[in-house]
Amino acid sequence: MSLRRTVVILGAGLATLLTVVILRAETTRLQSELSLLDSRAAVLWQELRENELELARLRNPALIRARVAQMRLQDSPVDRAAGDTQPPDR
Amino acid sequence: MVVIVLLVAGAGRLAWVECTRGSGLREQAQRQHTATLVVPAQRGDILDTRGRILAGTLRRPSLFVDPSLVEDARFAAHSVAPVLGLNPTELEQIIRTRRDRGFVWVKRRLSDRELEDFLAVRRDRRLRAFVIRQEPQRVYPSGRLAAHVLGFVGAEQHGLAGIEQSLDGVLAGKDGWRVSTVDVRRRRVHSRPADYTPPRDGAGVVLTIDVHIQQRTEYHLRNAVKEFRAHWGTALVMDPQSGEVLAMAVVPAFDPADPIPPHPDAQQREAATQRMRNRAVSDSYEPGSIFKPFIVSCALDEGIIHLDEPYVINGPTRRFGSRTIHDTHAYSTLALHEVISKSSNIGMGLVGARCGNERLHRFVRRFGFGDPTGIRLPGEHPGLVQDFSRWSGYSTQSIPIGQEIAATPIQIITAFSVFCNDGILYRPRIVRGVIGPGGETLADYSRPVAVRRVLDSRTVREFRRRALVEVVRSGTGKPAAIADYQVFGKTGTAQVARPDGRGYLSGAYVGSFMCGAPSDHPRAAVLVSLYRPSAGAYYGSRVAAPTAAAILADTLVYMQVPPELTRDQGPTGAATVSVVVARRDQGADCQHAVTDSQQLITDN
Repeated sequence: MSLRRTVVILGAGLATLLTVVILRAETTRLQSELSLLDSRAAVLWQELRENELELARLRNPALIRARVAQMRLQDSPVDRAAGDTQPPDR
Repeated sequence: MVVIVLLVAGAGRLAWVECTRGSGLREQAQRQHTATLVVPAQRGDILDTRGRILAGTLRRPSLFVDPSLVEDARFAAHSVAPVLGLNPTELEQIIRTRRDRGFVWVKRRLSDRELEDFLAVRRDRRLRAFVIRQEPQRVYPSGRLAAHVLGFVGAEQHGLAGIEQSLDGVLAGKDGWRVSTVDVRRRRVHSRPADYTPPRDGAGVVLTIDVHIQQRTEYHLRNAVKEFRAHWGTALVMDPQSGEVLAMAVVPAFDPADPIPPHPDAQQREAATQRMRNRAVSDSYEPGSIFKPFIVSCALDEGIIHLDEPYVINGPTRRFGSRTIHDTHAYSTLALHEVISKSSNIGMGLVGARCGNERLHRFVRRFGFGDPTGIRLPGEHPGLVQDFSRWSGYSTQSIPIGQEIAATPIQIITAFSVFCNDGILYRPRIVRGVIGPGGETLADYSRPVAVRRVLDSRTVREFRRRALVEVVRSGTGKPAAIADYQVFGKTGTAQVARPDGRGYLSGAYVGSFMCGAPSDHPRAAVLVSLYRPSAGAYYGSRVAAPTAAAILADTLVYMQVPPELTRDQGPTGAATVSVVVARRDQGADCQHAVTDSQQLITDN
């Protein structure tokens, strides 16, 4: 085997090894990144849920009525007839 | 030679380790670089009839430790415990005694501050055995609203009361799990698809409750319970044309997010248990005079009596065999419709004598008393209708005035709806449907379920128009009159039976009123009951009728039901009610009709 052929074979082997190592490292890095993205998606989903539930809290009729009373708009015919001025319940 | 000896010695050592500790070390290594994580299923939401969230789930951080990975228990415990407000000695003890376990909770549902402090400590001191897990937490955005309907969940997110309990199997879903390769700081590096079982999220439950009607019902009921110092009160609003429960309120209420105070003593626990009872379905009591229409209407339907028939009362007391029946006023003669509108006990005693026990028993059962209604709420009481063999001569006068019988509020409002829908007994419904996590319909319960026809439609219309309307126009229910709509209903004031069943408690009453409107085509039925009011007044006409009317008025306006009375007829006028606005479906026209009519009455 000539020196040149030996060098080529060793070079090819080294390149293959390097490629394998790089691919393996890249796979691990991407897996890790995917894991982080999963976590991020979970956090964002969580934020979405929190916002949905906060919206539900703000749509609570008691809060809406409190706001209506704050604006001095009586909304109930019974309240109107009775001149009800007490603060709305929670 | 030396190298060879060293290699042989090393190989021998390896072989020895492999033989003696190999499997243990392999398991330890496996534990260190893999983690099995439970992926919790999302518990389904509970929604009102228009899709507003009444109960939802958030995820909150909880902390657990893998004791097998803790190298220095004392150091770990004294690092972590102070930032979480825990006792370091106790935590150290837990870590030491549970070395064989891979999982022990340290603290659940950390606050934001605790989480921040813990993460800082873990980063600085490299406490990799302590892991944060996001745990579900049930949230009720409207606070105490409809608490008795919704119920609550325990620490493990299993329903323990209300809809949370009765539909737990639908709401809960099924947890998934994932096996991952993790790095030294327990961060996930790699997961194989084969090692992942996705969670199956719980389905959402849509109720028939409307939050706006519910809120107004609770508001008016709370005021009444407070004003009359009642032990408790309950109010129900039902769509009588379908059996849908639009509101179900019980006062006092509780916070479903925190139903029992932490570390309660026996007294606090008992008080919390009482507060959590959904008395609208779980408590039965003698209905008293609100029971009279059920007997009279059946007797009318069978042609035994007639509404214009005169009854000689000669009150205020009258003997029936060995029993004396009392009226609140001394009436001489009353027509049958007046027996109802003036709530004459003597008149009802005479009706009972005309019918006889056998018929009375049939009438009672026909309206569903003595059977659970089948509403999907836990702990429903069937009420009490004694076996016919135990009925006596007393029953002939007791049953027509609502004694010797017990009924739950849901039974009473369900039976009263028969007078609103031309004679059909519908099964009350509180669940409208079930929707999957993607919004698809899994079950549809929105169609009315008719149990049976109880009365002929002509009998119902005549009885409603001539007897029940008269109750509010000129009878005991006058405080229930409201503008724009002709209310019909019946008052009731019942004595509270002694717990041993012998006689009645002195000065203890249940004041009730059941009503509906508009009288030509009822759109809502309301029942209000106050248990043992103690502020002086106790008659149903005084303690319950105004509250029921207020709830009814708010409900009808919210539902955009067109007004019913003309401008020259007050709500208590004696003239026949005429409809000024043709009935229309909900929509902009109805809103205009309401506004126009309100203007007419105001001008008048």
